[in-house]
Amino acid sequence: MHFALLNRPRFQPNFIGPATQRALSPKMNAALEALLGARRWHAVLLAPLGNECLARFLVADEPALTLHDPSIPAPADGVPVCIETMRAWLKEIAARNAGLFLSALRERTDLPIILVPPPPPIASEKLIREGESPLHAMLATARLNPPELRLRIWELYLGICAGLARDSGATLLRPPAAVRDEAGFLHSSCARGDPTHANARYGACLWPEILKHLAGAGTGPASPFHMELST
Amino acid sequence: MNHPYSDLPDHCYWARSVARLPPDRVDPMLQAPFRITRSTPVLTAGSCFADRITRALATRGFNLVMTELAHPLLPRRIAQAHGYGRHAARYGNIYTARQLRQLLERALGRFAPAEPPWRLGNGNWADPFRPTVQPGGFVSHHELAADRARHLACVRAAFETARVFIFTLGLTEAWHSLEDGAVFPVAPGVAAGRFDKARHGFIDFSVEEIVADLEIFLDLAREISPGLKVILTVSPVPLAATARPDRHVLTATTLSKAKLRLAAEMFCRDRPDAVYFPAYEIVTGPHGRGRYFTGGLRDASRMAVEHVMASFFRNFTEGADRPLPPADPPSPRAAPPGGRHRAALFASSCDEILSDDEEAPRGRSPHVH
Repeated sequence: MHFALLNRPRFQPNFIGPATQRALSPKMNAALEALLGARRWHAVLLAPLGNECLARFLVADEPALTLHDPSIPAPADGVPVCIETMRAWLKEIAARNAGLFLSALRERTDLPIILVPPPPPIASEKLIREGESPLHAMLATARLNPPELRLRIWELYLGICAGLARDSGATLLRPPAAVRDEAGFLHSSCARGDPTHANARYGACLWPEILKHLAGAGTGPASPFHMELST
Repeated sequence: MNHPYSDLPDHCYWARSVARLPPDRVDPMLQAPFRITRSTPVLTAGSCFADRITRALATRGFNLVMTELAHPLLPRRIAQAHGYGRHAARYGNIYTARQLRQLLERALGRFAPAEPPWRLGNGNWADPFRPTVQPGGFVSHHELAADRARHLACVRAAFETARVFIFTLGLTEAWHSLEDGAVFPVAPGVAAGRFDKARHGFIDFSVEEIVADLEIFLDLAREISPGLKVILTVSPVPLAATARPDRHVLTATTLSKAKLRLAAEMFCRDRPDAVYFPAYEIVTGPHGRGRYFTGGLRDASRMAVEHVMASFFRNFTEGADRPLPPADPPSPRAAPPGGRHRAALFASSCDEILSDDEEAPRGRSPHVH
C-alpha cells in the first residue's frame, strides 16, 4: 500500500478568500490534481483541520459559553447557546474545512473517501496544561471550558461531519472505543502533550478501523501493508 | 370672510400639507410631547414593521436597549439568524396588544400559559409564543424551558432599563389558547405544532379590547419602569391573509388598521407620556403615489421607511436638523470576546483554523494540521 501525505508547507496556502467564502487555493487544487493522477489509489483518507473545533472551544471566554444542558456545569457568568444555534455554527466551521476538501475530492475522484474527524477532547486539565511550549505557558493560567461542554460540542461536530461525509458519498471514521475513556473523552494514553491533538498511539488505533473500511469497500489490501510516504 | 376654517394652520388643509408638497415633505406628525436623545434607552417591539424602525434607530446611533444577547463568540450572521439583535430580547414579532401584555405578564411572573411546546418537523420543539426565533427549534423541553426563563428575565430587564418604548401595532386577528387565553403570534400548525380546534380559537380584537390591553400593559410596565414613555405606531403592512372567510383580505386589512389606529388614538388621548406617531399615514397616504410599497404590495419600500424615519428624527429627537453621525448597528452579541487565549492557541497550533470572520487576526502564516 502506498501513501501520499498532502500536508506539507509546499502546498501552502491552502485557502483563498475570507473565512465565510473560503475556497481552496489554486496551489492546493493543483496539488490535489497532481496527487490523484500520480498513481492508481485505493482510497483517500481525509483529516482536514480536525482540531479547529477543539481549539475554538478549549479556552473559556468572558463571558463563558454554555449550553442549556443540565449535565454540563454552567458557570455563573455563562451565556447559553441553544443546541441548534451551536449546530448552525459548527456547520459553518465544518463546511469550510472538511466540506471544502470533500467537495474538491469528490469532483475529481470516485475513490472511497474516509473522513477522519478530530479526536475526542481531553478531559484532564492537567494533561491539557502539561508541556513546555509558550502555548502551555499561556494555558497554565487560562480558564478552560468544562470538559463536558467540550465533549458535547465535539459530538455535535462529529454528527455534522457524518452528514457532510454522507452527502459526498464518503464515510466518517468514528474514533474506536479503544481511544476513548469511559466518559467518552480521549483516553489519556492517546494524548500527546498537545491540547488539541492526539498521539501516534491514537493513529495506530485508527488503522485497523481504516483497513476494515477499505476491506469492506473491496478497494484495497487489508494487511500487512507497506507504507511509503511521498508528497 | 371669516369662517371656522379661515384661521387654521396649513396642516389642516389637504392641498397645502399633502397634495401640493413633494412626497417626502409631507409630515403629519405635529408636535411630539417629549424628545429622545441618543443616550435615552429606547426599547422597541411590534410587528415586522418595528424591525425597520429598530434598524433605522440603530444606524443613527440611538441607545437601543439590548438585554438578550448572543454569546460574543457566535458569528454575527448566525446570531442574527437566531433572533438576536432584532429587538431587546428574542421575542420575535409581537403583532397584537394582547400578545404584548401577556409577554410582560409572563416576564413579571403574573401569567404562566398552559400551552405545551409545539412539535417541529425535525422532531425538535418550538416555543408557541415565539415559534420562529430559534431556527431548528429546541432539542428538548428542558432546553426550551431554560431558554424561555432566560428570555423572560431579559424581557423584564429590558423594560426596567427602557425610558421610551416604541410599539408597532400590527394585527387585530389572532389565535389563542381556549384554555387560558394565551395569544400566539402565528396560528398553531403554521410554523410549528398542530392546530386543534378543541384547544385553539380565533379572536379578532375590538378597539376596546386593544385599548384595555395597552392600558394593562402600561400599568405593568410602569411597575418596573416608572415614567416609561410610549410611542405607538400602526404597521402599514397589509394582512398577508385573513382568517375570516366572510371578508376579503383588503377589507379585513382596512378594518384591522382602522381599529388599531382608533385604539392608538384612544390610548394616547389625555396621556402626556404616550403619543401616536403616524408612520402608517406616511406610508399609506396617496402622496406616496404607489412608490411606498415594494413589488408584493405589502412591504414598505426603502423610500417609505426613509420618509418615516426622517419625520421621526425631526419630531422626536433633539437637534432635529443636525445630522446624527452614523453608528454601527447594535451588536446582537454580548461584550467583545475575551479571545486572547484562543488567538494564542490558534496561532501556536493551527493558524489557518481561526476563521470566523469577526475575529480572524491578520498576518498569520497559513499552515494546516
